[in-house]
Amino acid sequence: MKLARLLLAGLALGLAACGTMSLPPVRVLDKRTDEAHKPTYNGLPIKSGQLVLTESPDATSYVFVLIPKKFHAFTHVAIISVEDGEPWVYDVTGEVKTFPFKKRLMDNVTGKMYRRRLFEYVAPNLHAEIYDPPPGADGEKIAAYARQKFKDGVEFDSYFDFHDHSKLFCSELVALAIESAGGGHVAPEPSNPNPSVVEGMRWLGVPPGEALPAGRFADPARYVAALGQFPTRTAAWSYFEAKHELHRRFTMDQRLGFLLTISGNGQVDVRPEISTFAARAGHLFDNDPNPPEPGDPRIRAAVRKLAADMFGPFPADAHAPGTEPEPAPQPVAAR
Amino acid sequence: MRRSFLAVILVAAAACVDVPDSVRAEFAGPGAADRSNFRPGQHGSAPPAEEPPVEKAAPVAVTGAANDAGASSAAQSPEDGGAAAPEPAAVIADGGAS
Repeated sequence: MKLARLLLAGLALGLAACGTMSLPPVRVLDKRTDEAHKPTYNGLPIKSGQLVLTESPDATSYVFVLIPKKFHAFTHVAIISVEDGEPWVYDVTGEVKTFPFKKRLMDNVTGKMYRRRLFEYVAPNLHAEIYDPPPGADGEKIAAYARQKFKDGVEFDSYFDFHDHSKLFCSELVALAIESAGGGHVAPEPSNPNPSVVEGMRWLGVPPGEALPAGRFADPARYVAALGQFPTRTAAWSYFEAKHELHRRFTMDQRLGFLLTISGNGQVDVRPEISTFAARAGHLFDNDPNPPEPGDPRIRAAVRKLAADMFGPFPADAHAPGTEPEPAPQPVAAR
Repeated sequence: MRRSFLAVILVAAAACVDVPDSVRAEFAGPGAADRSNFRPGQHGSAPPAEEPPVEKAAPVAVTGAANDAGASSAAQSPEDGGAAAPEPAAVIADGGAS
């Protein structure tokens, strides 16, 4: 038997996309307030059934981004339930269990549902955004579904089988909650056909071919509020655009090792130039007196220019194999 | 309270699992002949902007002059390519075995 120091615990939990670690206090970056979104908690328009999407600060977030064929921001998704005026967050997540370890990597991952206060939940993450549930879905029913699963003690599905609901992973929980609340069926989408990603998924025992990324639930039209460590939402979405650019450049001939490293003891990390790129992207508009809002094509244009400067040019109309071409970014206006 | 992700990784790092060579090979850094779209420096091996989107061949089947030029310049420029000098796959494979 070949023994190696665990190299892909991060990858394993990366698929779970459910990690946290200690970080500075959370700050509220932005919030949407209107007739339908009146402040209910600390100035935020929080309601039961809203979804919390988070981005982990861990290196594994660079693995998550490569799993789906299409790019999605965020690594984890959870459900808000307002109880006695306070928002609680319900999610299902996995972790590596204690000894004895098993030879099959994902057999070492176990988990369950958790219930935490909103700010406690968000604090360990790099960024978090809150979104309304999809049209037709009753928020109270979504929250009730999450509470019931928590009460049932549902376990985490370390093999990410969307078709077996006896155990759940984070986005599966949310998809089922939405469906139970009248919001329609949320189906998995194709996973990345890149051979290197497929090999990794096959080894982990995760079914290649499909994925249900947390970012599926981040519809800009349903945006409610943003919290986290970035100074502005512009900075956060410039960082996400950098992840998008990494995904776009991860064409069929690219290997996981082009982005990730393995230390002597087998731990996975991000190559320094990759993490530097994402970090620099987050500062692209620090001195802009009129910074772009998320979705503004100036963000994409600036990030692609940064990537070209750091990694060399890449066709503007290139995209990951099998995905739809994306609209070309508009020229960045001189300021 | 949920354990931190860092703790999870640290605990996991002490574990031994079966990692096939084929998986370790996927984590090998880019070699000089690989066309990495993430090679540091302004002389990276990404295709030029005027080149059409690439429908991919095998990772090491790079024969185009432009590709060779890009890969070579990155590999030969310590100031921009040296920081991410690729580790030979064999070294990584050996490093994982213990």
